This record gives sequence, C-alpha cells and structure tokens, in this order.
Amino acid sequence: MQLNDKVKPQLQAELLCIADSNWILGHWYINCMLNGRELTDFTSMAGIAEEKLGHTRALFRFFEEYFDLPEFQLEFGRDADRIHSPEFLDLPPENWADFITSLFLADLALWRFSETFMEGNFAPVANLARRFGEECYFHQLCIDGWMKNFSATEKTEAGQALIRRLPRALEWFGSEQQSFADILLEEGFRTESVWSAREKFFGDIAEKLSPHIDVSDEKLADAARQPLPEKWDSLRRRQAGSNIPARLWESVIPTSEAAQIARRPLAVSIKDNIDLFQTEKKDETEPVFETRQIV
Amino acid sequence: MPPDNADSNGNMTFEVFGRDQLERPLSHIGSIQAPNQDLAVARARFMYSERQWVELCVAPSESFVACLSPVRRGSIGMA
Repeated sequence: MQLNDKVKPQLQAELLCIADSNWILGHWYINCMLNGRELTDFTSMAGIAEEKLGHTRALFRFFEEYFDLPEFQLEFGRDADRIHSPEFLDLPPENWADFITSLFLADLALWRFSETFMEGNFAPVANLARRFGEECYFHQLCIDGWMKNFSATEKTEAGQALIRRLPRALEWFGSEQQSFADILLEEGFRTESVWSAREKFFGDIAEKLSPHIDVSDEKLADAARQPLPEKWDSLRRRQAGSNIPARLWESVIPTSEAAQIARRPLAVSIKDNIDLFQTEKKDETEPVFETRQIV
Repeated sequence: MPPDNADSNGNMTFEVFGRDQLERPLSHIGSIQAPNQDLAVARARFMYSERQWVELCVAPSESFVACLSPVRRGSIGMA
C-alpha cells in the first residue's frame, strides 16, 4: 500500500506522538528506577524501559523505511521544541504515588491512542500497534500491582497527582472536532476516532483507579471539562512552541563531553544543517539544504 | 492490608513455570516474591526473560500440596 501525500504528514505526526511519548516514558522509568521498593521493582522497571525504547526504535525504523527519515536524524537531529511527547510528562514526579499515577496515565493514554490503528487497513502500523499492545498489557499489570499496594497516605497523594495531571492527559487527545475531521480515520488507517479513544481512556480511569485512589467522581468530571489551551499544536499534541524541559531532554540526549565521547559515531553529521523535516527533496539523489540566513 | 500469608515485607512467594516449546512440558524455573498476583505475573515476565517462552505461569507456593517432602519422609499414605 502506497502512502499518498494527503495522508503522509498526518500519519507521520501521529506516529511520532507514539514514538516520542514512549521515548520520554522510557526515560522516566530509567530516571526513577532507583526509587523502586525492591530489587524486583528495579528489574521490572528496567524491563519496561527497554520495551518502551524498543517501541520507539521500531517506529523510528518504520520512519526510515516509509518516510525517508533516517533514524539518526529522528534521534539526534531534533531539538526539544520538535518532540511530540505529552505535556503531563514534562512535570517530574513528586513522590512514589505521583510516579505510579503518571505511569498509569501515560501508559494507558498511549495504548488507547495506539489501539485506534490496530484494526486499520495499513498492515505495518496495525501490526506494530498489536505488538505494542501485547507488551503494554504487562506494563499495565505491573502498574496495577504497585497501585494495589498503596498505603493510605499514598492513596491520598495519588488522588492529588491524578487531579493535577489528568486535565493535561485528556488534552493530549485533542478536541472532538479535530478527531472527527481526521484524514487517517477517513482513509481507514484507524478504525476509531481519537475522541472515542479518549472516552475509553476516561472510562478506564474511573473504573480502574477508584479502588486505589482517593478522588471523587465530581473532581474527575471537572478535569474532563477543561478546554484546550488557545495555542494548541494539533500535530505535536501540546501547546504550540512548547519545549521539553531542559533537564528531562538532557537525560534523553546527553550533551556532556563524556556522553559525546561514549556515543557511537554517526556515519553522517547531523550538524550539516540538512533538515529533512522542513524541506523537500528535488529529486531522489539530491539532498536539499535548509535555507538559513547567515549573519 | 497485606494478606495473612505474607512475609514481614508484605510479600508472598509464587512459583514460576515456563514452557519454551509447544511440545515440551511446563517446567519449574524459579520463584518470585510479590505482594499481589498482578505484580507476580509482571515480575515473573521481566525476571525470567532469558528465553522466548511460549507459556509462562505463576502459582502461589502455598497452593501446592506436598506429596513427599523432607519433613514427611516415611509417612506416605497410611504408613
């Protein structure tokens, strides 16, 4: 199946949302791994991080094959203001309960979003989504297990964390209007709208979190009514022009000298101002250089 | 509230069984500590990931009934 020019930019943006969210979420696990309660928690977190980064890697390979976007360009050639990760993962966790609640929201949101592609007519993406789902099941199981073990104090803290993060998690799904004017839905790449994924996500929260977290139904309903920010970037699913926080971004792509030395050398320089996102090739053989004013 | 059979850390012991090929029997591959079944399943999957299992399952250690054990030596059946 060929991807036409109408579909390509939207599909690229949506899949980058999945790839980048997994990328950031994987680094959440890596950064917080040492806060695990037991040795088996470390193992589980390392295993989940490995799989989250694996999902990103699989999608980056897909981009290389279908969009001519090399993996190194996606990984090292983008700045913090070009990453498509959800804004509620920008805020660092404040405690164990906040950490687990954030993981729950991110994992579930990502799965409900990816699931919309699972029955679609584009097999490479549908198969990837199915495989992600098989692995996400165990990630969710682990998070459910941690939640069941919350103490009374942690239940209260998790309730506060949920109220703080849920509006941002819901806004990641975008508006109802946007979700029904979706070219990917029209063309059959996804079989359900993003808005219906949002409804499922919200339903799951009410059903799965209420036994483990102290939060009222009214507060949940209030969170669902929050409007989208005025300057909303529907492609990146976050506020227009917003960056990943510098400290989080540094943990994803370290810029220290030691990290640069340790990194495997790239076959191609990413500093040659070839920007594969902003420019189009004139023909198959010629790279196009971004036009930048030299001051 | 930890279950009655939990240790001082609130953990129970689960036995882990795996099958790496369809025609092979399930084999005991180890055990895992977890405060609940969800975590036991997830932890077993991440801890015993050295092979591509076609089946992996856990069971609470206390659900096993001893036929023969060191403390029951010589007391089989009516003996």
